[in-house]
Amino acid sequence: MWSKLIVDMNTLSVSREPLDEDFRELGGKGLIAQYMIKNVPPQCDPLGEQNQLIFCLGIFAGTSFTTAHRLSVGGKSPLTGGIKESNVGGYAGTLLAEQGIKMIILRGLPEKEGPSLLHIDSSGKAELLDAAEYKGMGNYDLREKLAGRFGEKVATITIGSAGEMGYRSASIHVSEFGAGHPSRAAARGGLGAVMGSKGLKAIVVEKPTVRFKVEYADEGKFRETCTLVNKVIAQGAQNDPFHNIGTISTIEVTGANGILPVDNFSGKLFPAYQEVGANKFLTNLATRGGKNKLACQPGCVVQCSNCYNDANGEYLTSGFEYETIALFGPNCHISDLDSIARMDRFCDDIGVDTIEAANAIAVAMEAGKLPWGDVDATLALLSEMKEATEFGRILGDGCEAVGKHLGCKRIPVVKHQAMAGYEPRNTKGTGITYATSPMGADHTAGLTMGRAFDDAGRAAQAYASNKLQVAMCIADSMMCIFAFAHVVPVMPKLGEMMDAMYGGNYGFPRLAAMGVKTLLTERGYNKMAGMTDADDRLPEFFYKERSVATGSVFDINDYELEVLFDF
Amino acid sequence: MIYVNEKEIPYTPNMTLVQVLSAAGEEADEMTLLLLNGKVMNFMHHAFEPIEDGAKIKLLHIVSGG
Amino acid sequence: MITSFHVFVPALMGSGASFRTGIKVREMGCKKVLVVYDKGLKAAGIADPIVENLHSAGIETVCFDGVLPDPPDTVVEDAVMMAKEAGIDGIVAVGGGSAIDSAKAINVLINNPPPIMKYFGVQKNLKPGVPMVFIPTTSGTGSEVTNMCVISCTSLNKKDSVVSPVCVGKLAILDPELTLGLPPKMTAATGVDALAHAVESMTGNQANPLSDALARDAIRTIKEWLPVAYRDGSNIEAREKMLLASMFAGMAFTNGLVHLGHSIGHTIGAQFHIPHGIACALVLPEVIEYTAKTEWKKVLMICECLGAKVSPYATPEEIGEAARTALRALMKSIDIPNMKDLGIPADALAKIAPLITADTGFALVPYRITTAKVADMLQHAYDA
Repeated sequence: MWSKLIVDMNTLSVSREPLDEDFRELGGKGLIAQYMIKNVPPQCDPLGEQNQLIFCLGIFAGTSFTTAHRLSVGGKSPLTGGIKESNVGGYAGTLLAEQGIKMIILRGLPEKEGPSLLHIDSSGKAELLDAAEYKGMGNYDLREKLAGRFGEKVATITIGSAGEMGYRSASIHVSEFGAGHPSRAAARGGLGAVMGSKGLKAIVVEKPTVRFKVEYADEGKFRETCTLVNKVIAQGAQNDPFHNIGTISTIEVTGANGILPVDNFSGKLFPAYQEVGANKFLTNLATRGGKNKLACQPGCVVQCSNCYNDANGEYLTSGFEYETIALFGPNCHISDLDSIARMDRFCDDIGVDTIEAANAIAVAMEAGKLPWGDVDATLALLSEMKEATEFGRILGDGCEAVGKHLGCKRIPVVKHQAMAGYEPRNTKGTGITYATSPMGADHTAGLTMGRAFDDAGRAAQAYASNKLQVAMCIADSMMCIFAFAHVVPVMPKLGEMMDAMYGGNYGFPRLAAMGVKTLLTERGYNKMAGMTDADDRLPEFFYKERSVATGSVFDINDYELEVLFDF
Repeated sequence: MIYVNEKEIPYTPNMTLVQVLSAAGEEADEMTLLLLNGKVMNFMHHAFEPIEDGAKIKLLHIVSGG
Repeated sequence: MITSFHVFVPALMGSGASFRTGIKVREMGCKKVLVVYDKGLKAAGIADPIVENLHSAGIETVCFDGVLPDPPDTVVEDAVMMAKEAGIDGIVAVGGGSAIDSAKAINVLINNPPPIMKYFGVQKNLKPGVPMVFIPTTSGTGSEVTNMCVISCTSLNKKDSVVSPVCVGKLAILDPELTLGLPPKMTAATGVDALAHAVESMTGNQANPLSDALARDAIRTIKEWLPVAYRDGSNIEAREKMLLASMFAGMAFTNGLVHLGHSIGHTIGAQFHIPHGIACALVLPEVIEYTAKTEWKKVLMICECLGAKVSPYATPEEIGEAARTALRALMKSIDIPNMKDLGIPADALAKIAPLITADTGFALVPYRITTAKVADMLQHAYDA
């Protein structure tokens, strides 16, 4: 039977309890939604007493299903003011599953000055330890210290100084399987600040001596179906650019078709996009001893992660992804991959969302605070977040905060959260997702690129966004969305796996219903938190200004958005 | 001989990329990248270019975003 | 808004145009063609003159008369074997949508391995087939000018489309003389299919100014001439107008695409074995009424084409209602039955609603509509 850890930061106590029966068949995004609607008041202060921070595993945690050990982090977001589920890879999910811990719930506010760290040892004992010596530390130093103290093979979940300072773009970092770099991020929505507000600097999970054994309704049937599905995903992954290159490969398509954001979502093309593209990346890896095709968690067959070295062959960053490259790159008019890698490293170290930070820089460039394409000025401004200067604090609060402070008129946010690396005028379905997702401007909630007739046209975009938002609620409840993309030919098998694990003979409809319920629960939460239809719109400039790459404006009518979630 | 995802396609002079893929029974569109002798290319930009004898092509289809 | 229009097929139009079949096929360089039709067409004496016309132009023919309604994949796959053995280098299809779609599917399989269901959906890279000439004898599916064919997959008991350049004809020959013998019921059923193509293509998300212009002309023509062709099939002017309207509507919808009306048509047609045109017509008035909420400008145009008077101060709902009333009146004037007349049980409506929203055409509805609302729509249309 799975357990949950209730970590009470008022009393600095940890108790291990059986997982609620109500949550037995839930995981990841679905579990976060049901937990939050019952336990976290939608009107609470995200950095106050009543908010909770929830870490939970997916539906198939503890099994041999590929990518089953993603970790979902949830809470009320200090950035969006609504429900947030932030999904992350790394090694912690695997070890928590081996420990038999399905959920960690962080409650309350510390009375004394902290911070603390939560240590789960090899016998399963969980306790809060004093972490004052790590106060203000960056994620890289912290990981090194914790590995030194508890062993290289531990998994760590940490925040950098940004989380401690309550920056609304603060992220939570999970160590990668293998090298242990703290480069997998539960980045979006500022949950790092929630963790910081609760005075928790780190969670350290050791490999247990006795591995938790998952219970199945029909183990034989599960194993048989799981093996088949894993095989299908592995086969699909063979021709997936994410496996062969990494997520940076996306830029080879978006740079060509106008979906790559350029100069603060100006809608232009960036002729030099290949300077920050796949060939440059592969060449740098090959000549500098870097690596791709790395799995961030054991058993992943997609293996999209990487380890990127500098010109001297020294480690620079890992988990170097399309979003960071697109948004610190062409969206800031920067075309030097190494400089962007340094920015990635910096953001991972202090623990902020690169999407939010990069958009904030782009907005600052548009407002004239620094020149377009100026790498040194960008790095200097980012440093101000670490130094907690007046502007640094504003920058730490994200794109909208910077935009408003500097009087920029074009602030690309929805529900106060900055957009990802996809220009909504040229992938309109993704724009619909940005507008309507309860998560805010989140591309992982439903990226429609390549799935409607014409990305810059109107046909079938609302349909695609609706379908994908439900699909992503299912995916984020059980696996990595990159692996999910390859499961499509055998999708009903996921329903069979559910039945074999949890009993019953419901097939895929059970998961479909869970997906819809999750989405509607999230919307319901946001409504109770005070969001209205007005929060389901893109900023005005996307409706009025043409993207010169394609001539498109975001011309999806409001009514289509209003009825998008009619089920 | 041209190799497409490990399939062998007999080479004829001035064969274009589209012709090679068609001979291999493979589909490609604006979401397709390929590794041509280890170099990443956007299919749409090179569809009508001639392919040399001995070329090794791996087709990569973008299925999700990140 | 930026839209695009593709012209797919050149057309030869007018009484007697089918006499040019032989010359035109010869000009395409074909020497031995597969002629595709159904037994009924042969019995009606339409197929033989075309075959003779080809012979007199020096073209050898191989005849396939096994076309069935809702072309089954098994029939198509057999026909391909015959075609390949005979070494044909062109295809001429004479007949309604079934003959033309069969011919298209045969063309797909000439150089691409079976089964045809492998190619359901949009196919960009199929190996090309042979030149095709289409001679429609119904007015109609418009298939002679579209880039898709609808085939029934017998093993899965479902119908789906192959959309591909390989489904595009080299020439459409529209000879109204060949439609004179079409019985009244078929005239009405195929005529409302064309009407559905026109009104749906205007109100879907892929509409464009050119497809709208073609659709409007088609609607006006159908309003005026379908009742005439229905009552007096020997009226050549009515037949010519209807054949053109069907082609215009075909050009409109192959660009603008169709949506809920056809999703309902596919589902009801498959579930209750109702002919395609009738199935699409059953709830079409309610479908167009629903689109008026966001597409009221287009629905107003539809009202004008149907001669329905609408106040300049009308709300979108009122415009929708006017369109519904006008469409239904047109249906009634040519005795199109309703679901009750066809013996469809009322309690089946709620059950088929989820199948309708699962149809691929549903992706193109102008704004999301729930399964429950679709069921409601079916209810309203049931005995209308």
